Amino acid sequence: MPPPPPNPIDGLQINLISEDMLQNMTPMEKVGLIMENVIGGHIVVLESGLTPDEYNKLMERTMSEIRATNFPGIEVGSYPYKHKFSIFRKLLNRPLTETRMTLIGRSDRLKTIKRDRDFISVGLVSPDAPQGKKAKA
Amino acid sequence: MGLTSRLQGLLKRVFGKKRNPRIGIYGPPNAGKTTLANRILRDFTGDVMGSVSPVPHETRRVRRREGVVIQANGSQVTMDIVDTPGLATKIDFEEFIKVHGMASEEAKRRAKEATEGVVEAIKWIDDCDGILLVLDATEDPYTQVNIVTVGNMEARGKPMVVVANKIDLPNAAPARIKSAFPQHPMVQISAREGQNIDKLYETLAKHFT
Repeated sequence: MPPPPPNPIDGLQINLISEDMLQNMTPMEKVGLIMENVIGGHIVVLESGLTPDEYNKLMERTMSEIRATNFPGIEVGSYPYKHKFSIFRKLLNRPLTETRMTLIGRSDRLKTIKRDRDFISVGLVSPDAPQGKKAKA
Repeated sequence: MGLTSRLQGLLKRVFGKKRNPRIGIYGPPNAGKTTLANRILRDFTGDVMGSVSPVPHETRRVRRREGVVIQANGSQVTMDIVDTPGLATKIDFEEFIKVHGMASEEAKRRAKEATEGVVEAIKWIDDCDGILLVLDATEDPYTQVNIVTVGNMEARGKPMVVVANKIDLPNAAPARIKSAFPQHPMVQISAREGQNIDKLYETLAKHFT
């Protein structure tokens, strides 16, 4: 997996990752890619999001980074999962939840302003924003 | 889960020794999980689960109490209660210093233990047969942690009861929690005051037997 490209302009870089790319990755590869981007200060948009199990792995990795470094944690924006329960899906071992588009960033760069079932508003905090502005964002 | 392991699980359920259902108390930090665990234990065993505090991440290790007999409305159910640390995606030790006046070393230790607690709570999800998702009724329910906790249980096909806690507070809005997760039963309570707690016990007996 290529590393995120360098940002030639001042400001935040947003990297969008397609569903096709995600489908060919293992859960650990997805978590590795996300964390590489996020630790580097980038915002990641996943077209198809993460399963609950993948999200658990992301949380575990995040906790590990917080413990080992000054990493503050992550902010994630995603809509509620669509529940697709049916006895046939369960018997065929198909996912019972449908993943949805997800936005992930460092918790000091991405701040949730408002969330609802079908609406998410986030603020992006520039790395060189004054401390007071960061706190209010 | 493959067909073989599913078959093994079925055989174990048919022929194995039946154990008590294990119910995990999950939710974000400061939602009142340990306060609820204490309320349940105090009502049925005379004991408590752990200490509570207004400072987030007071519970940093999973605690389990086995064989709690819950009586409700003439019926009873025996279950193991698992109280878990609050789930979070960010833990900032500086917040413990700035907001809660902790010394630097104590704040760093608390943050480190809290990160370990989050990982431990995640690992316990598969060991629970059902969960109580405890949410602070004065807070926004559409957080990522809440969404993923619900997703975890739905993906595993395990039962869940949503508990809208802190309804004794003036700005509590339990209806907002119900509208966020309408597919699951919800009980509104005050774990601290004991308000509506019998309704929760009835719901536990109904959904986790």
